[in-house]
Amino acid sequence: MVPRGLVAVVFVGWASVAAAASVRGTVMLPTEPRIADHESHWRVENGVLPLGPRVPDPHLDVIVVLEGAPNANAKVPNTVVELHGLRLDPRVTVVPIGGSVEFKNSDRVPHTLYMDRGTSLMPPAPTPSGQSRTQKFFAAGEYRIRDEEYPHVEGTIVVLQSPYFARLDEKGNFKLEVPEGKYTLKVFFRDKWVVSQPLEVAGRANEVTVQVPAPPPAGAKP
Amino acid sequence: MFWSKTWFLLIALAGALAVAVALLAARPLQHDLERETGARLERAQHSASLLLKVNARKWIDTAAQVSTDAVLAEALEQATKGPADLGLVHKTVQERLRYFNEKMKVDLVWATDARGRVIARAGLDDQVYKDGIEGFPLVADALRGLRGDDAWSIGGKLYRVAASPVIARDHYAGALVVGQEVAGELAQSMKRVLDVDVAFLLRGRVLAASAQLPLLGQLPLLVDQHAEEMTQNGRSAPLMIDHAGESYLVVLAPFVGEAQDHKAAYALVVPRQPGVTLGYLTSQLLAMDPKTLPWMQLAPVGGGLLLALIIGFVLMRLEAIGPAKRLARESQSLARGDVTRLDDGRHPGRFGTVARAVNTTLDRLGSAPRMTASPPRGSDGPFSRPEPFGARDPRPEPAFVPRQEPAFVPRQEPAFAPRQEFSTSAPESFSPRREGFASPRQEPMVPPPRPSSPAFAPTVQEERAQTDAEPPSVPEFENSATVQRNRPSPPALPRDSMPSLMEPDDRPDTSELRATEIRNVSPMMTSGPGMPTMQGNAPGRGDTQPQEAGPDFVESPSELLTPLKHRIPTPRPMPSPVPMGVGNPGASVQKDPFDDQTAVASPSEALLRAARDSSQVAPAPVEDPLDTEFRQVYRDFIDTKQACGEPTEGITFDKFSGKLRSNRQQLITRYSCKTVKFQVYIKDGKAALKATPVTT
Repeated sequence: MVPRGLVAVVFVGWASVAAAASVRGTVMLPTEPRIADHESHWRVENGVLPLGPRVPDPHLDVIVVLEGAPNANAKVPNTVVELHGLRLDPRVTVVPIGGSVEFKNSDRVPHTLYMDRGTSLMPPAPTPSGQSRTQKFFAAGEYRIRDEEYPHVEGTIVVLQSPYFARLDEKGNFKLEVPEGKYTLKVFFRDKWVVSQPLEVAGRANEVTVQVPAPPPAGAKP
Repeated sequence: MFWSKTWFLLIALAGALAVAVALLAARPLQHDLERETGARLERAQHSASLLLKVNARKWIDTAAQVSTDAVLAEALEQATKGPADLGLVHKTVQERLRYFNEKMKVDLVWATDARGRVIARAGLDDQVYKDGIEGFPLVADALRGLRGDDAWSIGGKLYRVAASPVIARDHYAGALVVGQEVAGELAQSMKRVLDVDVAFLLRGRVLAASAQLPLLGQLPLLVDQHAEEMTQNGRSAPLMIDHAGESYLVVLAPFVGEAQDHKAAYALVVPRQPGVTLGYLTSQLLAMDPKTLPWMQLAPVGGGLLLALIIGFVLMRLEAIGPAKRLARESQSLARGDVTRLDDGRHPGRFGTVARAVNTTLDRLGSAPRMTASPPRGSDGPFSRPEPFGARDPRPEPAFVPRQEPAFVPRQEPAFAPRQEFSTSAPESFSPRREGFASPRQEPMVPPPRPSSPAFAPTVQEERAQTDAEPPSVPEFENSATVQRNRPSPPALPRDSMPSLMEPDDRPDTSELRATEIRNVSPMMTSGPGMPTMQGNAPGRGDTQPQEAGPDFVESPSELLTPLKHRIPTPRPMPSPVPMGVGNPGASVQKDPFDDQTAVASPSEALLRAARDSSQVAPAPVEDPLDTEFRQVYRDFIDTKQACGEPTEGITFDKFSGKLRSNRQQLITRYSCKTVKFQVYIKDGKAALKATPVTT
């Protein structure tokens, strides 16, 4: 389970740091509506207490990636995605090419996970309660995982070629230790890449602020 | 009948036009009706959506009301804090949930702590707790203070659920979820409100329906096909579905909630208006209350139709029925013997054609007045046909008493043949039509020998010369004549009845007369269609009469056995032959170029009358047993021919029996049998005779 108080967790796992430079930044998400746009007839406030924060925090679903650096010799770790409370935790998971993801079912009910639009790679297969299912990814991309029995159970596996990526803390900050050079900063949010901009890393400290544009209104043409 | 036919044709056209208009005019109305039905379905779907939405709000309010329970809120607050004994809290919460469920009668009531962990359940899975359900968006939103509703797909069932946060003083202590399974009860409830059939579907199968509709099996496929349309528009367009002979209009709409991903949908179904057919219109018309029909508007139509029919019947009576009756009356008069020309001017159209045809026939047969003015049968007309043997007035003419050789000698082998199995050398079976019963119309129009008349009578020498020319080895007629001679002789004719030309010493013997009569009648009457003859070379010989040979209707010899209706007309007029003997007494009878046997003069009418008279005066002779048998065969033969639709004119018993006798004698001679049995049978749809030699 991802701790809610995570602050600027930076994954530099398997990258070797040569002439390391620090990249600090903030990703500002668009203003979220007070009431999520779930498919339902009604979502009304209770009228007694104000609404609490969204659970889970949307900032935890944001991935910041720096692309453009030469591949470093990286140690490929396994990533664990836990099924509990009838949801995937974390909802967005990053693995390098060739990395594996272990889906661990901690719910009392079995889950039948499958890859949306990729059933040949990860076909539906039941994972009983207390058991795990491991899936290896050999190509960069975004893989959406769903559950046959519970439509709301869904998550994304982002397979990256670059080893330099970070998650946001609940305030939207991140920090990366990367070699100096020219990069492309990309932000993954809500199952898609929402920001892609060049970034030159030079010196010890680099600051960057990224604004995620608001999604187009419903019904608007992309 | 032109006007009546035209009139009824117009009536039929008007009727067809009316039916076509009735059927075609209903098409646009039917389309409008279908559009209206589709719009009604869309309105029903909109109503269903509102109904479900309002109903969801009621569930939300119910959940909110339950969530305010203080015991429940306190227990969930303690559970959130992590009590030492969660089981005790579970029991407390579950008791409260069951208590409320007794009142709500719902299928599931779940209570979670502030972290989304189930503390207790009532209804579905009520023994399970401590599992997290915060992954449900509905629960997650309730945990942050939102009330809402959703549709869940759990275990193959569809639940409409509502959730409300449980508030403990100033913070959220948990969430309360209530839900109801989507089942037949909801379908019936919706049907009562919407007045359409409702079906619920989930994951490609039908969960429940308000009625067992035949098309239920097709609905999951329809949901798959229109999923995108349903997502975009919130419903599908009205769909026309034909299934098992029934036609329906269907509108599909998704259930609002996460179960939509599991193809949770509902279908509103109404039967389509059947196609407008004549049967449908009739049934609808019959189903209507007569009081509601627009009688005032229909009255002119009905009156016009009645008037048209009356006019048609009047025209038909004028043009068809009346003339037909007139023609029938005149035809009956004709049948009664009132042979006068029909007044074809009174008969319009084709009836006039018939009348003219009858008149033409009468003209051809001889003028009708001549018929009425003609001498009675048996008179001494110069060309009157001789009466058959046994007639009432067999007065012979002395000049025509052929005591010599019979003139009627067949040339060839007899056509009567025994059965094939009887003898391998038997002649071919008897086929009267083909061999001896040829149609007289196909025969050459050979003038017959001159009828009996003293002036025409050939001399004995002439007859002898003629018979000498015949093959002497054919004994048939000889045998027949012999049989005739062996009969008891009738008493002598009175002298005053003898013709003046006959000498007293030459008074004919009646036995001779009979044989003569057979000889002379046969050539005259072999013209009858179907008449069996033993000659193969001269069928139909003598089937004609000279045109001036007497009345148009002569009495057939068969009248003795058949009623008057068997009066036969003279087959066809013949050109008058050159009178034989007139101006050339020594001239012989003109010979038939096809058959010498016909070169025998017919006995004079006087002779025949004398014979008839003698038969009348004399007591009835005892009939020869062969005659009895032949008469029966003759009757059978005539009956069979009539049954086969063959003509029987010209077939007289005398000719018939003569043939049988000759054939019989021939077979007896050939097969040395005692007698010959004749049988009538049907061959190729025609009457035929079969001769079977009998040896025992």
